Amino acid sequence: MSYDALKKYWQSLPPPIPSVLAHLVSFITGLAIALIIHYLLYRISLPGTPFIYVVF
Amino acid sequence: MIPPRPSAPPSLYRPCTLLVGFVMGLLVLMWFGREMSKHDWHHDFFRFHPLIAPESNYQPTVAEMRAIVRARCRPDQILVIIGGNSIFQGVGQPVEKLWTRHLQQLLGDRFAVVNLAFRGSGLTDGGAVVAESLRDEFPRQIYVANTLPFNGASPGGSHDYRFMVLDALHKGWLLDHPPRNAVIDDYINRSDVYPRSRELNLSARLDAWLYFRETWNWWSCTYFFTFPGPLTTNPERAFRPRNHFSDQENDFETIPTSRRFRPEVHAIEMNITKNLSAMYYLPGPDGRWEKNAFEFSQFQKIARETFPDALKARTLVVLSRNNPYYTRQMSPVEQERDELAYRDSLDVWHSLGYAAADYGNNFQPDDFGDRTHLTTRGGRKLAEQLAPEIRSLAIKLNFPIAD
Repeated sequence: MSYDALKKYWQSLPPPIPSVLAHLVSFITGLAIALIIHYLLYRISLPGTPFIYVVF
Repeated sequence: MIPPRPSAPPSLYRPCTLLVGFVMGLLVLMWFGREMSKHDWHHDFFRFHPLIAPESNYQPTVAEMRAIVRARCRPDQILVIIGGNSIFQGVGQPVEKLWTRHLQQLLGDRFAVVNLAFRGSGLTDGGAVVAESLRDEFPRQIYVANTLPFNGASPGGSHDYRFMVLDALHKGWLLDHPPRNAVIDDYINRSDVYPRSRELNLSARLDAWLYFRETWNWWSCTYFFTFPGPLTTNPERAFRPRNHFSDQENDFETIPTSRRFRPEVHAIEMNITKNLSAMYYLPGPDGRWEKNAFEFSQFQKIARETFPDALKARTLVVLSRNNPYYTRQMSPVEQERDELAYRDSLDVWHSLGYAAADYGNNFQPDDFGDRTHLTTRGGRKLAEQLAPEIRSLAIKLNFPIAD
């Protein structure tokens, strides 16, 4: 589906569907950003090089 | 005439809703991490093998270890937490022959033994942090860990395992212990000496709110690990959930003696063995060993500050001995010096209010898999030597050991 077709389809949607969809997409994006930041905080907390244990 | 503006593209962006989603997402993850921290997800746990330990980029959290303890110790039992290094962790002993399992059998149902030792860790790492954090929940507890003569430990834990102390500290689970506070302050303020120390401290502080380590450790154990590490370079292993790896520890007893005591490392091992007590004694004019006063006072100071006073009486410090295959090759005067080191170190620990013991003086070369680590047979001897010490300490602490 082309961009113009998508735009037309979007404009043809009766209110309040476009608004509800926009809020839904924004909300899910917010959740996804929270998830990514949460994961990045975990990854940053790990050492760059793991502890190496040597027995000889 | 102004040309008509092309109609704006449909916008799916609603900043306030996105912010609400972001905040709600963080709140849900925070709640989830807190909930997960209450559950034990290591169902077949007997020790932290390398695939669930820092060697493989897996850093167990203190909450995770507390959950392990809660799942294995009933409130009516005496909790025995094993800390210390790879010797107590049981390197060279397959999990079904692990010395702490034998210790559990010897102590019986009144005690619950949990092995929280890590490779290369010291007296004040993993197990010590967990035991301290559970002091009110399990007041009948004994902490047992190994070290060497004249070796105290930093009250702030060793560098590689400091993340555990920071974790518990920022969650408010540790006692106020000024020497530990000083170590942590020094660690944070000297990022030139300790790379990433500020970052790791901030991370632990944030984790106390957001619980990201619990969430992602649980995920890494249960669903998939998210990145390859040095022990898991093969993609098939890299992303496998860590709980799907079994404890694959080598068995020293399947290795022939000639390969346990390899000639290529003999000189190094002898050097380490001979230096065990060398710096703590000086030859006196009458040919007898005299204490090195400076080193001795340094050790006393460190040992005094290793644990908060409130925890000393329930701490059993165990001094490990080297394999007699090496110690018997030392001269008689060197052997005498080692004996003095064990005796004097035990005296210091006792004088400061700790319980203390040593092991290994009646062990044979076959009880060891190398210079320090024990075979299954050596592990059984260790358990047999420590069980009465633990029982005596329990009696001394007025813990009920009989039904």
